[in-house]
Amino acid sequence: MESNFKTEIISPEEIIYSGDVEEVVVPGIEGEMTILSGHIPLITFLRPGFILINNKNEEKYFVEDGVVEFYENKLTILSSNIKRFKEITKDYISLVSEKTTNRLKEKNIDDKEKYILDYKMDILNNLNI
Amino acid sequence: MPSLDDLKKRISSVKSTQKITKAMKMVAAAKLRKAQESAQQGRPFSEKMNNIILNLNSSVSDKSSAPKLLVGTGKNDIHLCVVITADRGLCGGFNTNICKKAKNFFERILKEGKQLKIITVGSKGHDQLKRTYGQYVVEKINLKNIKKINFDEAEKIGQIILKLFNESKFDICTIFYNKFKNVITQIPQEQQIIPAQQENKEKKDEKDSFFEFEPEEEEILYNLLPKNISTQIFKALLENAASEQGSRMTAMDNATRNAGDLVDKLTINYNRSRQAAITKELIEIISGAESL
Repeated sequence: MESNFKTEIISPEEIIYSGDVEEVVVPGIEGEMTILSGHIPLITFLRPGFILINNKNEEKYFVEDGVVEFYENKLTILSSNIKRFKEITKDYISLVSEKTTNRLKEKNIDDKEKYILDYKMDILNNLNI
Repeated sequence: MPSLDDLKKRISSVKSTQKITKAMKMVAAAKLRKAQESAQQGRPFSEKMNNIILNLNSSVSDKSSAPKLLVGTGKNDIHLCVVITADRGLCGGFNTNICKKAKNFFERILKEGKQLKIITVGSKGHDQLKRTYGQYVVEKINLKNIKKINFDEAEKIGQIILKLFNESKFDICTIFYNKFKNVITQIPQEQQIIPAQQENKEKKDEKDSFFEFEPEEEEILYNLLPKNISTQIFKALLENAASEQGSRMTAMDNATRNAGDLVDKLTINYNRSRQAAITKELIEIISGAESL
């Protein structure tokens, strides 16, 4: 069964991506998940990672956090910290890692947030641009 | 009757004022386009965010355990008002309209014997409110040094509000801003953001879709609501920026036209008095010659 569904990636500033796609892989908070057409309605959080959009050509985005909603065959990804993989630069990585390390140093964070931040650092360190 | 020299000076001064207002109008028009674009592009995000929260809200079964950000503290004794205005003047009634709206609201609150706390965003609003309501202002923020508003700014304001809320310093939060309708009309708005207001809740309820949640609904709500506050503020900031430029453009357009009218009037005046002076001189010469 091959069918497409509509996908939108929206940041507060603009609509980053909009189009019909076959398959999207998102880094859900409880693990990566692939969304295909006809998925049941879903709302989930994102953890730091990559969104892969599989259309004729693959597109890749780096997200720090966000929300995903799938409803009536329409996928909406809302994120305030998102970047096209192609547009990631060394400066961007160092900026994000600096923010993350600063946050990690603060005292008032719980284990869960720490886990996610650590995870984010891992991803950032493994990026080689 | 002013002398010819005075009139000349006035004409040139009005003309240079006109040049300034004209230039400001052009600048505002150019900025307006940008601001309008970003306001429009910012809309989908806040709409979607609202939608998701509505969906979540209809699936939360136990309303009593719902986060306070959504249902409120159950009291409405202390009101926090966030008044968002511009940092610059010369934009017509823009700042005054928001302040007027806010002041009406303040009066109502105070009359009901409730407590009031104010956060002002933008220095012009603070200037207008500080005389009467200075004692209530808990925080003033200005975005003077920021060229383009991005989400970080909104998040900072959101953090301040959330911090106050978590310390239970207020029960209800309302924001005041100008909604951009078109270049000529901007509508001052009051919008309650804590507890979140659901206007079109009924509509959604019927569908009552069963979503799969990851993690639990409550947890998502807990994390999402603070984000929503920032989103709403960001939307307000963008709308406000567009409104400011629109308002300034119309104000400056009017000013330019008025300056033009004034120049015309003064020029006629000038020509008349010049003519009068010439006639007077002629009469003097003629009568002088006649008496010889």
